[in-house]
Amino acid sequence: MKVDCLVVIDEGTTSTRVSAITSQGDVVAESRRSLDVSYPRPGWVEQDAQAFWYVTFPSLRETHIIVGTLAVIQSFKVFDMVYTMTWGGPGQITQVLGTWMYFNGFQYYRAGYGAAIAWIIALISMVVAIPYIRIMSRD
Amino acid sequence: MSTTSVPIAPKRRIKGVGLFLILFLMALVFLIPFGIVAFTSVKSQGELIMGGVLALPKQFRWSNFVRAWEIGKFGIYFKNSGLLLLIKVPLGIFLAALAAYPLAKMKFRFNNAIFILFLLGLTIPVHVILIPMVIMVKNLGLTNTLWSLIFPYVAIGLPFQIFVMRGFFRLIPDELLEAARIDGASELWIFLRIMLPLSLPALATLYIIDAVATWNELLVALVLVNADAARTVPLGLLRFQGQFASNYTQMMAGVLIVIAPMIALYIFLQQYLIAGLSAGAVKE
Repeated sequence: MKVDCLVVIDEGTTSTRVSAITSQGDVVAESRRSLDVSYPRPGWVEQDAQAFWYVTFPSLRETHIIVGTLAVIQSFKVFDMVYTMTWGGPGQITQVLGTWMYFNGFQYYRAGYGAAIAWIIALISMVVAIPYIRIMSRD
Repeated sequence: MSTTSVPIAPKRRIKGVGLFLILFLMALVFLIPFGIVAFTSVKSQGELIMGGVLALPKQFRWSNFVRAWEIGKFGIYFKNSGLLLLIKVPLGIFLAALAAYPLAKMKFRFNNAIFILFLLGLTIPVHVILIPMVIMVKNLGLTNTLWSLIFPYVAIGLPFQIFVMRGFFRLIPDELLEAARIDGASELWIFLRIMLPLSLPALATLYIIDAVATWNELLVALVLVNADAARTVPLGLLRFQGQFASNYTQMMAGVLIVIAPMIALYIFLQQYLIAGLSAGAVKE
């Protein structure tokens, strides 16, 4: 079905509205999107095209640090997947710190060497976690 | 003059369709392995080889599950892991809540220092404490009992649980506690009758997270346990995998048996995961 209609764009202060109106005056479609505005002083209205990069993104900074830190620590702890699927093989090419620690400490009976690997994992985790701890312990 | 009956925001619509497609593809990536497990578990060995892993099963062989359960001795492993879910998980969460209450609601010296100490526990990988733990468990005479798992599991879980409980307790308005104190309630009474009931959503969330983690935990159990009496489900599955290295239909039936309780638990507890029970308890 083909209908002749007029598309109206209203570029407003707090939102942009678009409607399509037929020649009979019926509104057939409408769409509305709000805009972020700031009022720096009475009578002034400002809209920032880069609000996302300068406001939204920086305010997510702490969330990014927390999520990133946890992801790094978790990936240094990987064990079950490698152990059950490849056993670190073929050869040693899929060996990770977690499984290498286990094989040395509990299969090859080199407990000292295994403990040393474990401490390397721990030190890496702790260094990565410093910003995380600082954010989390803030009141 | 525009001549169209198309809805106004085609750009937005295209964006919506694109987003849907991307999310749909991602969902597929996550669901396909699960689908392979589910389909394979009800096929016969011949059907699997003929049709490949992705073909829909033509006839359902439920006997795979019965055989897997019997041969894999899953009865023992389910009993052990089930006991952990009933004893270890609630015990750990209760201890964490006990520690979190003063950290969140009382002022005392070194409050923050103690909290940071617990936070540090989050960053220490379990690998570091494996060897000392084995020696300790051996010296305590707990080797190959379920207690050898309960104590370390509780300790390992505490930092994260204290962290979450403290965060939740801080959201509970102080006015509620003050009102209870004026009525002469003891701190323990406040903790048991006000804090815990109000944090039901947090407790349920922690129960799910910790239950799944405990059910899946492999490394600690692998190191501490080597007798059937205390083997948990992941260890049982590992043994089962060894026995059925090439019998994939049987193996996938075993895998499905093992993951089913966690899916059921998640669906059952999901209704409690509604945060903000205490919102509106006090007029600001």
